[in-house]
Amino acid sequence: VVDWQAIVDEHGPAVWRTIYRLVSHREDALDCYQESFLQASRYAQTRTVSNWAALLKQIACSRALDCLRRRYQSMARMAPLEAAAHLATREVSPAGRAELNESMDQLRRALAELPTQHAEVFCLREIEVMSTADVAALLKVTPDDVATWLHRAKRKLRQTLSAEGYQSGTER
Amino acid sequence: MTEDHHNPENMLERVVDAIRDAPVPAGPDAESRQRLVAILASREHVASQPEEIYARRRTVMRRTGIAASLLAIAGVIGWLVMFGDSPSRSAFAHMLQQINEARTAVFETRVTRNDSEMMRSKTMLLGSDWVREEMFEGDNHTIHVHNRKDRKGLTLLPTTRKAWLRTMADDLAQQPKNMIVLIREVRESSAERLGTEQVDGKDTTKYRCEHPSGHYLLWVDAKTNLPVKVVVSESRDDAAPAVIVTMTNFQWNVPLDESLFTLDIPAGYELEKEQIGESALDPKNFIIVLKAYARLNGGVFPDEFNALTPGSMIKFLDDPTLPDEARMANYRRKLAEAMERPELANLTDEEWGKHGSEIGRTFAQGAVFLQAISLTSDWHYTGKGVKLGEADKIVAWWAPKEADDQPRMATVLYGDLHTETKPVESLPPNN
Repeated sequence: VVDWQAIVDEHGPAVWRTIYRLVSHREDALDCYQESFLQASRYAQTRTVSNWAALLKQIACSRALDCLRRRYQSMARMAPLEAAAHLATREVSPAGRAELNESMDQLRRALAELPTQHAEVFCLREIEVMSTADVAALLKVTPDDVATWLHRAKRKLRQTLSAEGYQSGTER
Repeated sequence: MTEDHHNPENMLERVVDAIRDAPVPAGPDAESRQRLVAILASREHVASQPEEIYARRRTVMRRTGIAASLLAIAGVIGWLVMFGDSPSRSAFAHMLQQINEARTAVFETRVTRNDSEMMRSKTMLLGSDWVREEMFEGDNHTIHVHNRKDRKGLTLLPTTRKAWLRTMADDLAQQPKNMIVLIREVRESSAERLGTEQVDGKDTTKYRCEHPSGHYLLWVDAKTNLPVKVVVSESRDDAAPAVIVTMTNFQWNVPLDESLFTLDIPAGYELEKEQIGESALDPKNFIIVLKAYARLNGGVFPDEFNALTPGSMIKFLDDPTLPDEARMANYRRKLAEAMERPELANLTDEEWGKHGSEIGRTFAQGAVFLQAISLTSDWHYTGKGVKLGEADKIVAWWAPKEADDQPRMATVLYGDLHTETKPVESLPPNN
């Protein structure tokens, strides 16, 4: 029997941090947090978990990325409005911070558009700073797969940021 | 920004660093964590549940239709907060003046129970006449467009490409001049300043206000004097609310695409039917909901009744500790008993889906009655402690605000749910 009290106490803060960094929205993060533990409970019903920290980190990343995909798909349906809102918020923030916030949002949006495995590998390696070997073990793939997916993710993200940065630069 | 920042190699690292180093607020509170642990522990003993618990709960909500009352309320509350009878002190008066002068507004609404989302919506207001709401409940997506000057509404279901046109039955606060009238009626005494707080990095002043639609907490930006967050609950007791409506991400005077505000049926949509809405001032559904609440609450009327109360009945109906099928059966059985509709207890899922819409309309109308009656009448709820069937105890009474009758007469609802007309002077105030 899994001691969920101990697991939530021990790993809850890390799960929350992982999720919040990605979704940057409290209500969404609360949903992802609960969903992560529920997914972990389903996993644990059929398998023995040897590394709860890694499993929960991977699930948390996955749920947060799902949340970002839903968010940006939803926003795409209201594109003119969001674009207007974006312009409005940029005007009231200090220039440097606004630009960084915008870039963070662009990265989140770009992550939501990446293939699932590429996005997960990027988050686990670059944001959660896990080793290639650990990520490979967690995802049950080879380290070469991890390296390839990470490379592709970075290439795509740089392209996106570069394109967005160029557009922002030309607007000013 | 420097050239270095525009270098995509450095830019990606810099943005990743920023995400990694961004401040993370405190996570779920202890009560939420304990609730989660209880659910996780209970699942240890139910190893074969096929559905994920939160998705399942949303399914329950869809099938019962009760969520519709909250969807309706989220929109109406947004409107009231924008233009309505919010209590005020001088800062509030200034805030309301700014709101009244706003050409457009956008905000997001989230309805939660025990920190879990039941539904969310995005509301856009254009001028004083147009409202567009995009509502999401699980995978369901619904769009409502209202024109209150013409008293018409359009509902769209993008997934099925169905459309409904509706004409509102009442002329309630339809005219722009009513906004000014309402602001003049702001009740100075009922706003309570609670102090200052930071919300999304902004310094805000927090207020508590009371309104027939619910208990409000408002966070007002110290710089712009406009709301940045509004929370509405059905109970003032901070520990007790079953349902909380939270509005955030307010934006004022942003450009909006006017093509979003039309009652024309979009290409590819099929018009299901046009209908005349029920009168919002008809107490019939309010009484049905009030009776159902009392039956679920051990035969006692609620301590208070506001626009969120119908939706809050979910606390009696839904038991998340039960396995899936038992939970659904329990839900339907209790609702059937509460509404004295025994036939509802044994319906198939498909049949229940149809009745769910009907029940949802009843609950929504019961909730909207509170909104409508508070605009046109002096509203008094006195049902605290009154038992269902007590023919000599008053549960609620309301009297038109601008009646010329002398003496002024009120409609009085008693514990056995009969109504009488009586002089206002003879009636008790609120609980």
